[in-house]
Amino acid sequence: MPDNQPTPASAPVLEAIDVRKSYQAAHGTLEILKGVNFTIGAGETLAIVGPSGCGKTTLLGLCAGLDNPSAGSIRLQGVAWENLTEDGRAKLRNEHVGFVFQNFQLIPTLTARENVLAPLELRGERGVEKKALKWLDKVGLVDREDHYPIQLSGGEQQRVALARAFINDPKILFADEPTGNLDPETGERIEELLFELNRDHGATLVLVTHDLDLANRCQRRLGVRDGQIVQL
Amino acid sequence: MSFTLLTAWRDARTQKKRLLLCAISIVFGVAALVAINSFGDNLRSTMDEEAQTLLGSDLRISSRTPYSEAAKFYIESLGGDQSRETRFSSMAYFPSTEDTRLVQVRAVEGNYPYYGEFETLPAGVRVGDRSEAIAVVDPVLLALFNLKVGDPIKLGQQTFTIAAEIVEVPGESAFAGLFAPRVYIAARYLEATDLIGFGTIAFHRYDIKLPDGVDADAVAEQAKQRLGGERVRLTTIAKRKEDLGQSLENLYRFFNLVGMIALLLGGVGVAGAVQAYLRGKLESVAVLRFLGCSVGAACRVFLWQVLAVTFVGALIGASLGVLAQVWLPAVIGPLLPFEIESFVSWPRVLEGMLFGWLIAALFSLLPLLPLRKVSPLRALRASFQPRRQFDPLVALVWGVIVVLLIAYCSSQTETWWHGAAFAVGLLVALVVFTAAAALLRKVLSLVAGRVQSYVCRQGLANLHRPNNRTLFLVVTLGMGAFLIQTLFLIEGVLLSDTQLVDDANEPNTMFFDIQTDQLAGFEDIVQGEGMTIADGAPIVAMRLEKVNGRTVAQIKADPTSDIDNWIINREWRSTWRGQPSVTETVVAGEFAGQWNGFEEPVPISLEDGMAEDLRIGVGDTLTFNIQGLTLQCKVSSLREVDWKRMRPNFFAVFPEGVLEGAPTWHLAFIRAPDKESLATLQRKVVQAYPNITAVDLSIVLDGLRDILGRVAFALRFMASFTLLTGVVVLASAVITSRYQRFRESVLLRTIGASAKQIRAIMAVEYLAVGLLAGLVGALLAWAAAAGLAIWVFETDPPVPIIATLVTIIVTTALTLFTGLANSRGISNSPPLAVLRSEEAG
Repeated sequence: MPDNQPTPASAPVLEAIDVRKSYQAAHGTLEILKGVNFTIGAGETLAIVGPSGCGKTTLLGLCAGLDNPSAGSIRLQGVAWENLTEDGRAKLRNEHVGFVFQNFQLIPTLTARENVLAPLELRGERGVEKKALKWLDKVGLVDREDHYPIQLSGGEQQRVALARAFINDPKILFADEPTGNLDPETGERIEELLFELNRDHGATLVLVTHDLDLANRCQRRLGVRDGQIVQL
Repeated sequence: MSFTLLTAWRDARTQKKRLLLCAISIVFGVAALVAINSFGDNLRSTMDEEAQTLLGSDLRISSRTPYSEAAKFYIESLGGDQSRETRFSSMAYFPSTEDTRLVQVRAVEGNYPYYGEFETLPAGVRVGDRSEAIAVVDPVLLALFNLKVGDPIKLGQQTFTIAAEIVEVPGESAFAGLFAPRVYIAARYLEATDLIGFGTIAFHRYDIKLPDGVDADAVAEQAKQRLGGERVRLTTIAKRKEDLGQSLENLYRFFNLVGMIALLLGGVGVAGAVQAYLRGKLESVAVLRFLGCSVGAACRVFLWQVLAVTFVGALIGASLGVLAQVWLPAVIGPLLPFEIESFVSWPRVLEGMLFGWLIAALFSLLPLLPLRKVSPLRALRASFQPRRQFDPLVALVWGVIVVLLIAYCSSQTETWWHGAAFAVGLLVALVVFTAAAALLRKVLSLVAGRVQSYVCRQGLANLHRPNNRTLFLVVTLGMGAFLIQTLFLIEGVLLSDTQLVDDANEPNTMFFDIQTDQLAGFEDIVQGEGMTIADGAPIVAMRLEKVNGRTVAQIKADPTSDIDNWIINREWRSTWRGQPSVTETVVAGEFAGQWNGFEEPVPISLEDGMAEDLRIGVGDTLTFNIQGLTLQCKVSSLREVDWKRMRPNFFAVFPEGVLEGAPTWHLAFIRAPDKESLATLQRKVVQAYPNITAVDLSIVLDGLRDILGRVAFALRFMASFTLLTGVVVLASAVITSRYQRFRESVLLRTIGASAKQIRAIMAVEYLAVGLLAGLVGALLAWAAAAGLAIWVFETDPPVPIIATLVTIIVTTALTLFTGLANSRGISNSPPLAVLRSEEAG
């Protein structure tokens, strides 16, 4: 049985050890990641940057346990994703991970409040409506709690997504081009909110972007080029 | 409330229309099942209540020959109240209008019926109670010749006064007097008619009301032993109920199978609609999985929705079924020998509803189970698709559906494999449609790109590119076309046999009971009316005594023998001929046309079906008893007989030179040019020879058409559920594919495609799908109808060229029309407004 207990705070929150990922394509094997190694500690902020198609999002997906590496290992809180079942990963994500997507990924048939509530309700927590409203308040959308995603602007949807990402007190927050689908002004406001919430919350932040300004706001930056990590 | 239930509810709030589409397909299938199930209970309950009335007495002893003195003595010694009836066909002559008509004479004495009522108009007329010569007749006779109570009717040498018309006879359906209207007379006048003579086919029966406390079945069992050599048939209330119950159960089961077709088609519709619905949910499932939802929980969210909505569909179907049941007695009632008491059988309604729900739920699982494979990675990359691979759970659900379908269909047919074949046939059809859709996609992927027209290229590409709806549309539309056309073709097959008499070369009137000394005189009358005898045959009555040396009694006593009793008990009416007739083909052995008349065994020709029933072939022996003389025969040839042609056809044909000395009567077939000539001929024959009976085959066939027409009407009523399901599935399939095509269409509109172009693209897509579904459906229906005609109804397969074309055109047109009607919103509105309203659900 894999050890599913989180490690002490001094240990790295996330650890990538010789991570490789390849796909079978029509003309042979396509190597996306060719031995990636890095660690990130508690409360750190890390940006992964690189041009389109370099493997940033693939790496982020592997870090969040959405897929298995072809070789190597990724450990979150000391637990190797590859040792867990699908449901075990889901549970680990629910307990320790928050995620912000480029295209928001709100469930279109749930209201803003219900979207924010979803991670807690999944744990079986009840009577947490107030907590959801608190987070909606933090992102400035408490008066839109009953609105469906279609009734919100892109920026508002991403704010709801931020509230959802933080509501389960994640140890680590992954953000995939969080401002990629927003205009610069709205994008900036979302950036501010993301870092502010993260600062207040003390979570580790891993974000993928090709926006160097956004990357520069992080404590560390990793570049991905030809499937390998280059220190920036 | 658990997370999955809560999320299912929240998610469903804005998806009502789409969810309803998932359920609507099963509505009419469930309605059909519920209606027929509840009606089945009505049938059984009425039969239980009317059991005694069905027979009218405690015990009936019937025979096709007069009873021997010993038998009479024994039967009369059984005591109780006894009634007798002699029933035979004869010509009736109506002096007031000078018309003649074949009737069924029933000469009665005694107080029958003991249960139920012999209803007449005026009420209470019983021929046995009156001393004068009166008759009670079928109302059809009065209507036919414009007669009224008080008019005379002449049967043979005796004239009767019509005293009343029949309203109801216990245990008889509305069809009882259809071929030969019933005429009741008192038995004491039978002799005066002079109609019962040599060769007359008459049925004799005793109806007995046993003394209170006497067990009719025990008496019947005892009588069976005592009357073993008499070839009598014993019927008690329990036996009558069992026989009738079996026939009605078969009828009920048949309609149930027709209802099952609607349900199965609906199930396929549900699967397609759920699949379309769930395709829009893949992102949500991925997000849920990403947020930490387990595989099972993510699937359960949508399972609850599907279960709930199919339950609603089943509930609506059950309500419709309860309403439809009101119509069933009117549809099937005329086929039954009693009036149906109509009530809603709630347990059966529930049973039908739950079964329908189960089928719908199982079909829903087929697209639902693959949700387990949705990776949370999809939330990150919408294009991410897991590799398609064999899913044992989906295979298991298919297995359950197949087993359930086969078990259900087998339970609905008397021979289990008939039902199994029915179910397997449906499954084969599913496979054929799936293969046809796969072939279409493959062909289009190869050729669509080469099409010059952009609109055509785009429309055809829609059918093979990723996430296409080709398979679902072809399967649902094609199955609908196939099942509906098969039903109509089979109805045509059933009715086609009644068209024969319209052939100008075929005889249309049969005369029988012509005694040998009347033959010359009869021929003179026929020729005097300018007609000729088209065909005829001498007939000798005989009984079977032995089969390959084993006596009939031994065969009957042998528990391993599977020869039907009716074959060995029946009176054989055989003929002799020098060569096979136009309706016969020798299929084995050699036909012996002449025999020296002295040596035995005599070579005879046997009908192939009868040989099969007797489990014998060429070279086997049969021993017949002809009026007390035993004749050993050997089967020298087997004949295939075209029974559909109205000619003198026989099971056993003897060679010339053997039977000529035996007591004989004759049959004659004539083609009368018109009704007037026939009426004149009949009148002259009846006046000269009252014992000769004429059967106007066109009347018989009209009667047959009437019965088949009513059966066909009942069949159409049940088929209408399939038809409605087909329409609903079509609409549902097209609407769900509209959701599928929506974004592409809006994108095309955004980059400048005109509404006309969008409609044209969709028209090409629906035209191709409709055409393929109609074509494969029609051809499959053709094959299925041919198979059923040959192996089940044993008749010529239909050649439905027009029906096939109609099916193809109607399926294509309906698909096109429904598709275009559904695309209106897409092509006419501004893209942004359409997109927003669509996303809002």
